[in-house]
Amino acid sequence: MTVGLIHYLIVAAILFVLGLIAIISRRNAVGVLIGVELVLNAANLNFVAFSRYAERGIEGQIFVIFIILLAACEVAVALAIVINLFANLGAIDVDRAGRMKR
Amino acid sequence: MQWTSGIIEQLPRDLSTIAPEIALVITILALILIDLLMRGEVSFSISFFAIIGVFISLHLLFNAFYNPAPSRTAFWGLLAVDKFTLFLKLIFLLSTFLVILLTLQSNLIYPYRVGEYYTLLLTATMAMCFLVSARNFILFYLALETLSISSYVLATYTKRDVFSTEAGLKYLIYGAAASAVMLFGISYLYGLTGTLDITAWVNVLTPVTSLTVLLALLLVFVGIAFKISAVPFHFWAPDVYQGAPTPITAYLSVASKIAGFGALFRVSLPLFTDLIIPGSKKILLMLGPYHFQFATFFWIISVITMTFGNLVALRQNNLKRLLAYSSIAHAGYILMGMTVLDAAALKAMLFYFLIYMFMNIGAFYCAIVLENKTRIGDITHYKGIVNEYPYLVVGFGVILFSLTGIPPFGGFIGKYLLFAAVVNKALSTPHAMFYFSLAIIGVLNSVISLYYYVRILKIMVLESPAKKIGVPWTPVESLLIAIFVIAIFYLFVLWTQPYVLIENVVKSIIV
Repeated sequence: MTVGLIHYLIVAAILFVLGLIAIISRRNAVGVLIGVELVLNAANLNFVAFSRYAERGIEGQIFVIFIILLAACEVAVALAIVINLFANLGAIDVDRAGRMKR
Repeated sequence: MQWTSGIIEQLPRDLSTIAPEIALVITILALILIDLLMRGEVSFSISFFAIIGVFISLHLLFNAFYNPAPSRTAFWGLLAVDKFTLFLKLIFLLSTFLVILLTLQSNLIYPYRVGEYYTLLLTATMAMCFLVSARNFILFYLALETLSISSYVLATYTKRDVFSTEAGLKYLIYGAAASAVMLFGISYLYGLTGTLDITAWVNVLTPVTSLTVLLALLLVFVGIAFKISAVPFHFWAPDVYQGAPTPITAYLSVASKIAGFGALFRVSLPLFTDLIIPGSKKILLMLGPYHFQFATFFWIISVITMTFGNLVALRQNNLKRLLAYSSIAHAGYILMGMTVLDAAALKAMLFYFLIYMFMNIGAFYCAIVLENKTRIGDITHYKGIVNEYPYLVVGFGVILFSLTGIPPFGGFIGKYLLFAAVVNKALSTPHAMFYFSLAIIGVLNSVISLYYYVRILKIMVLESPAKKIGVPWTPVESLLIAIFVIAIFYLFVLWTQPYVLIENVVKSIIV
């Protein structure tokens, strides 16, 4: 059996679902961010697989470089906010950040 | 794409089409330098430089707007150059200018250093300008993320405030998740169409692949719905609007939301079938069986968005939170236009953006003034405030009635055009009940919204004050409120002037 497009798509879909589960179920803010990274990497895998196996041109691979760059930016900002949250609340649990409704 | 020929020859012409953005970038770099070189007492001069930058950008934008050059694409098809994008950019720059004025009035921002604040604000504005003209998913995603990342930092800018930090965290988590899901959708569209062209999905709407295409489009819509705070992707909005510094709340509720709609238009322009599209016959044939499915989808989103926003707003006591739900409801009204999907609806939506900008930034300006005077965000503490600040209450009254959509105010024209588009569509299609029911639900929602808007005024005017606040009223506050009130009346009395402009704008669209 040779590895083809469909295998990559299945792995990407599994990664996507796992990422969504992590985003929904994790309490810890860093855990949620790791879930986001999984979803982003699922998309990356799709792009590269389509570009390589379905001969969709080089654009997909270029897009992946942009996504990696932007994910790094996003994590930098995210961790800054999480550290600030820790400074203010003494915890990084997402559900601790629910004071406004009261 | 012709990569080989004319790259250098076209470059000057292409660069001139992004002159407003280049002006913004130069301003951003200048602001960073000024902030670094002149540490200390430069707060107000930095805002002065930011305003100059916005004005230069506006000037370049007006030059392009009154230039009769035909619509075209620039940078090998990456950017659309037409009056439609210019109009949206005009709204972004105007609202940025108004938000800078609000920042100068707010007591929240100035204890902090403001160099980064203006840098981020103008970066977000620049990203919006690119977002609404993007015709390629790489640029689209890049612009959306630049906008989002700047907004996360802005929302949490008053970092010693716990609420602001919470707002930033929620915005970040929902935003990152939504854009990642959107990206997954884009990856499927890329696999199906073989290009990153933003409207290429139309070409693959065949019976075999349509389910996958619609699913991928749904994932893309998640990212956009997050920006326009459409239900069920609105969870962030109330907390972020309440916790973020108030000028930023105004910015997110107006500029960022309209940018989301601009992005939605760019992706869904082939659905507006009566716009002039090259090769539109082919597109019509492709879309034929699916067009009504899109309309149904937007019908559902629109109805739940406006109903949810209005019903939850009834129970709110915090002014910023109430305005957050009200702005969710307004996203629902604007989405009525996406149900109709024709040129008249597009015009109505563009007009609504114009009036919504003045109404909502005006409402948040009143919130800032109340915040400065009382230091409390709870509307039950504003009892009888009319005795001390009559101008404020009159101005706020005009803005709130305009948000409701009552005749002598500009908001009425915005809603009238939207409802007229819906009813006209109802009269001209076999699905009359489908559109009539939407119009009826919209009107009922406006009636509900009247209750919570008037309740604020009732507390301010009819109830007796508890004690004197004693913070003096300043002439600058009168002036700023007058700007918003005049704009609202202008858009009611002389609404045909901007409407003629919008008609030209819609004619110029290229897909």
